[in-house]
Amino acid sequence: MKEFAYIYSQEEANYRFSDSHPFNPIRLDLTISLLEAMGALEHVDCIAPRLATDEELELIHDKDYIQAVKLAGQGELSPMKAQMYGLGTEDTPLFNQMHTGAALLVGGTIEACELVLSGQYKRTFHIGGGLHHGFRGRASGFCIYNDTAVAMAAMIEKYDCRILYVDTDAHHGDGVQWAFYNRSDVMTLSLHETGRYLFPGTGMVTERGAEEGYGFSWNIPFDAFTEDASFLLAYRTALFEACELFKPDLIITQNGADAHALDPLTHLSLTMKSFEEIPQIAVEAANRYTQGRIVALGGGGYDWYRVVPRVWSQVFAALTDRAPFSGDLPKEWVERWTKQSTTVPTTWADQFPLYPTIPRRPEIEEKNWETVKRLLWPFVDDAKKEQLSDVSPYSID
Amino acid sequence: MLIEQIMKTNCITIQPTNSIAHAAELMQRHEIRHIPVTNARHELVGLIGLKELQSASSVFHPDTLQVDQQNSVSSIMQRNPITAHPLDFIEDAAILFYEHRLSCLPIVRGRRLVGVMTETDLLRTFVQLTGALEPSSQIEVRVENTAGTLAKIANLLAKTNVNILNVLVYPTDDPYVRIVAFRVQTMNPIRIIEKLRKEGFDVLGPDVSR
Repeated sequence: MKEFAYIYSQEEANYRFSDSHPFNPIRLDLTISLLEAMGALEHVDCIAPRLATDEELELIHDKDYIQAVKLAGQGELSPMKAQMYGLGTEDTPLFNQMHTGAALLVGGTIEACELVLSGQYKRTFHIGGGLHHGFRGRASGFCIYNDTAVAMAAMIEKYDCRILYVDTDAHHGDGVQWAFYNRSDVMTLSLHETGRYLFPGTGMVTERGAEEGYGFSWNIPFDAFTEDASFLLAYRTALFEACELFKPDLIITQNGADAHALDPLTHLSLTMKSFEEIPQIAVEAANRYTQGRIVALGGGGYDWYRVVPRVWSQVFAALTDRAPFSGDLPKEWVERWTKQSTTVPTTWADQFPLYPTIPRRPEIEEKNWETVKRLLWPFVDDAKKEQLSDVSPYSID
Repeated sequence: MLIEQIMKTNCITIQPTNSIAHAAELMQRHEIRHIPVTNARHELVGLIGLKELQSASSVFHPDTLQVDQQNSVSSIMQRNPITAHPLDFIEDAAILFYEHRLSCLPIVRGRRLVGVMTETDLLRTFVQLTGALEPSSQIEVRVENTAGTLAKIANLLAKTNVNILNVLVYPTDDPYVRIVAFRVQTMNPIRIIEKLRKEGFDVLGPDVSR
């Protein structure tokens, strides 16, 4: 078994709405070029994604919806019908060949999972995947098809396995959650900003799954302005509890980069410190519970230059058994992209202060930890409850 | 919105001559807390809930427990419970719930039982009314309580080609100020917020200090 492969091809850039749309494939280009400049891609297997078949897509999506996406990509879908499917909206505008563009991302994630479950690789990374808002019959939140849900359904059919899905995107992983809401072979753990103001508004602790799936949907909604220490405490605690209870065969992580303080769409206050640790902790969990099997995906992240390439490169670092990258960013990379943007960072760490001090930090930390406790309460014994109650949620400065 | 749109119509009922033990078993099996009591013509004659069940026997006399449980439902049921009509507004029903501290409201036409509405149905409906169950972003605007304000905002939103799923208007401490909350179907509300702010609207959002 080989250690690691990543799934990527330039054709993935065809999933492109418009130049001004926040979900832009330049993010892949920025990341790959950064890894290249680091010399991190040498002697690493790169596998091109394939198109997902209609049969695979139909594991999650409705036939008529797939048909509509195909027609939309050829300009043959009436605007009225398109609206019904959430297509041709501000969030998911129509673009040429949108079916193949979207199906390629799905195929990439299926491959990433297949390579791991068939035993060829221990860990894979599909940077173009992680479109967690896609619904059965409707595009939503920049996502046309739900690559992750399709891949998980396909893997369960073929390998009869248990999959733990961990989503650290700032938005709730609603599409994936609802797709498996009453199943017990997939457990979803989503950590996100509360839906008070932020899209999609769901992801409350009380969404725990239904019927057979009760207890297999976990949600941690964080208060706006949540910082590193509070996020990491909740993440580590929930991730290891989930592994302990669920005993997964595979961990899939969705690595949205939009919980960073600089992200324009969201209101969390994480720094690169969190994004260095998130994938390291995920790999640690995989080593302990799934014999190392882990598939990482990309996701949201709308500060293209300052945040996304560094975040996804740190995922790459963790998956290739490295400590987080640190120090200065490669000069050639900085120079290349400075031609396009004035905001290109020069170091792996953030330049502090990144944001003004948050006056109600202790309150936020308290509330977040209460959320974690409320999430875990029905599933842990009294000794564990005592232990969780003893934890101090406050970070020390 | 009318009660008939949210009430449960296929409800479990019990007869006045049935035993208390049977009522308890029905509640347990169907995971419900109340059962309307009806006669052979399906007319409502009473209501039995957990509270009535608890009053049926005494923990200080465990020896009579078995016997007590065989008493008839009619011996402990609430007679002439508060009811409502399927065409009543749910707002009115909601007021009944909190004025009389109800947790279950039988719905009748004449004497005939046609449905049941519980506090759970009511809460679910209110959550749905907030639009919180569909993927959307929330935009809150603090406005003066005057005519035409909502139309102005809606006009601005219409120009951004973003669908409004839901609008809620709620009061503040100041009677002349209201907060209008829009649920809009987009993940990227930034343009809308900027547009509103440019027109002088006070758009609320997460605040570091409160």
